[in-house]
Amino acid sequence: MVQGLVLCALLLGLLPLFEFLATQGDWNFAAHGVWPVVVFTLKQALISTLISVVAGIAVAHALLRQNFPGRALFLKLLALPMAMPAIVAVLGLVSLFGNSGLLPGVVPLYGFTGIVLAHVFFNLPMCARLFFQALQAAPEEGFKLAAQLNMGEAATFRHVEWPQLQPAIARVASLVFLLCAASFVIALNFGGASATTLEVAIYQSLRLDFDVPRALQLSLVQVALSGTLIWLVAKAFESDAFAVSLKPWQGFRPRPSLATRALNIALVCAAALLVLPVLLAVLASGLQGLHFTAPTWQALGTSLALGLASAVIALLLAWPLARADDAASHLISLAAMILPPAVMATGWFILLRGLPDSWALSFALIVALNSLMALPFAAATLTAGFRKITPVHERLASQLGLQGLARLRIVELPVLRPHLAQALLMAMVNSLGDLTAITLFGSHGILTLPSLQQAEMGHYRGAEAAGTAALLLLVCGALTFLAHHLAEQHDHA
Amino acid sequence: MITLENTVSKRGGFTLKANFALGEGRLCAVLGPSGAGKSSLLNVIAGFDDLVSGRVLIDGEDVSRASPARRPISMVFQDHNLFPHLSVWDNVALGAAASLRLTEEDKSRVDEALARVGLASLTARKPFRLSGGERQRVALARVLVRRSKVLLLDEPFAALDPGLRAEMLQEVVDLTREQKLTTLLVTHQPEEIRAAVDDMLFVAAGQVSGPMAPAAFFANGSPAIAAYLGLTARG
Repeated sequence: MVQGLVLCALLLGLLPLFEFLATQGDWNFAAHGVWPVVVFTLKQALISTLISVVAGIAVAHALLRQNFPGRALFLKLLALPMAMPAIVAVLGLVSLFGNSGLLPGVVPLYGFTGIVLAHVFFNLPMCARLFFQALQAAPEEGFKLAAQLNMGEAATFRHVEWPQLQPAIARVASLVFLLCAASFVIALNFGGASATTLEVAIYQSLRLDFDVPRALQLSLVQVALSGTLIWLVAKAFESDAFAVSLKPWQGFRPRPSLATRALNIALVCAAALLVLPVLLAVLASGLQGLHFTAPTWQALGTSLALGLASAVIALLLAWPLARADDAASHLISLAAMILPPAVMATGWFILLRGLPDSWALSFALIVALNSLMALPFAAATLTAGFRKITPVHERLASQLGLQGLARLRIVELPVLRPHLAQALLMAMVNSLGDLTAITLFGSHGILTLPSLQQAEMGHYRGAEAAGTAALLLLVCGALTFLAHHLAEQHDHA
Repeated sequence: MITLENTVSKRGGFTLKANFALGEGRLCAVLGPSGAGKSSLLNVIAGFDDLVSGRVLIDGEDVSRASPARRPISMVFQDHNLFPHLSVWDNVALGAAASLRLTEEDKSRVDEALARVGLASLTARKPFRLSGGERQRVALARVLVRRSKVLLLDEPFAALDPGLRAEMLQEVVDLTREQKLTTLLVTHQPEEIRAAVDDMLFVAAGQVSGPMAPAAFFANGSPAIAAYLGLTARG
């Protein structure tokens, strides 16, 4: 049933693409200027991925080998960019490196460099956490053996840590590449005529230039690119990003040399310097400009309503997919990544052209798109929960005749409750900070916090934009903090 | 010969105290309830846990401050004794040189060790293609190559079936006698190893007692040992 629903949404998005192929068959991609967009999309994604992955490994390795006061806090800090809406990070970077920022001109913010910097800001901390999680699986016995066999730091890394890291690299790199290739908000704000990603170009062709054939050509390329990468990424979604242990390491680890310790500390400081200033810039400028006018209240209310509705639908869709936990369900849960939002929206937009435009339709489309975008993450979190209900639980429940609601209440819900709460909160954060769906479908005065901030930035009302960004950050930060708190409580239980 | 002179070590909130000596060519079982400190004792001897006070001596030499690599000790664990990406031969060769740059003499030592444990025909295999018993034999072959004076075994045969456990135990007994090793074997099967070992150490609540002969251990009137052996009357 759910599988069918998601597939329907997917097919509705794909339908115009197939129609275009069958009827118009305009294959002259060069005439529509598609290739420069493809080349730029791939180039920025590749460089962003390389920097994020290599630096992410170095930071994760430093964190594994080095116990220091505040290590748990630092790991929490690395989770913050994952909760930060892209539009808030854009404002943070502008406050730092923009023309009227604190460090004007230090980094050229507009164009290739700015896009890569913003992508690294988001993805390096995520890489560090995912690689740290992979490294944590290295057995203590391996380190003991290496120490006993007089292996140096390089040999210990090669024989003990690298085998844990190696399988994670392809998966994490593909995930980061996919996220960067599908970048919308960052490319929309820091890009330009020659610095445009596929997602932005699709939006511009559709909503600004009304060039439907070009939008469809770009969509085809985007689907081919995402489809090729998705099977590599599928495994990365199985890892639960919350499952990072914050406890100090109690077992044996080789003592790093003085030089390595200095390097480890330098790496940790560098990572903190990447995350903290952006965060502080948003809070410093934002808390001064915090304002509660009628549009702010309206945007806050709409954001919370949209976020909650999208999160509940994402959860309802994710539940049966996570419970089935088979290849088909897994693939379907990743639908929104195979068919990126702008592509899906293109299909829906073309199909619904004939319908009268209304507030309710826009609201429903935004919720539908947001819930599909939150689905991969919600399904991954719930799958991790369902996997804790072991075959032993299942056999015991069957033997005792526990079925239906009783089985749900006694066997499933106690195990799944924290996962459900985390999935709901993170899906809300995802939807609250989203600017893609609102940009593609927003009309009829639907105002959310991200769209309000975008409008304020567009009208050069910097102080007000900063205030809205700070409010958005505080709401998303509080929800993320709650989600992490639940995950940790569950970890300790 | 290994001597622990009034050693005190701490990890987290757990404290372990020991004071004993064991001669060369002797096989000693380390017994005690779960969480009592048996593995911690091996960690102190191997240098994985630091001492708060006391000394560890091997053949009279104080190794208390020496790094694990500088102690003439080999340790075999229940699992993860082999690097999964290396062949059987390379895993054993690591005992001769961590860089795997071996002299001709080293290479013959590796071949001999593998022949000694009956794995000469499996040298090219990766660990995942070996049985549990074969994996532990590879670890023992590396012990032979390292020419250590002390062998520490942390429940190395717990995952094997009884027949294989007896076979591996005999292998350890032979190695201990041939190489004149001092071997400490952590185990949860006192009856199974009773006839094979020379001494027994008993660890309870962070305190090591012994060594004592197996007969003395089983005849011991201590309530802690009786409880461990399940001899305490209920009610």
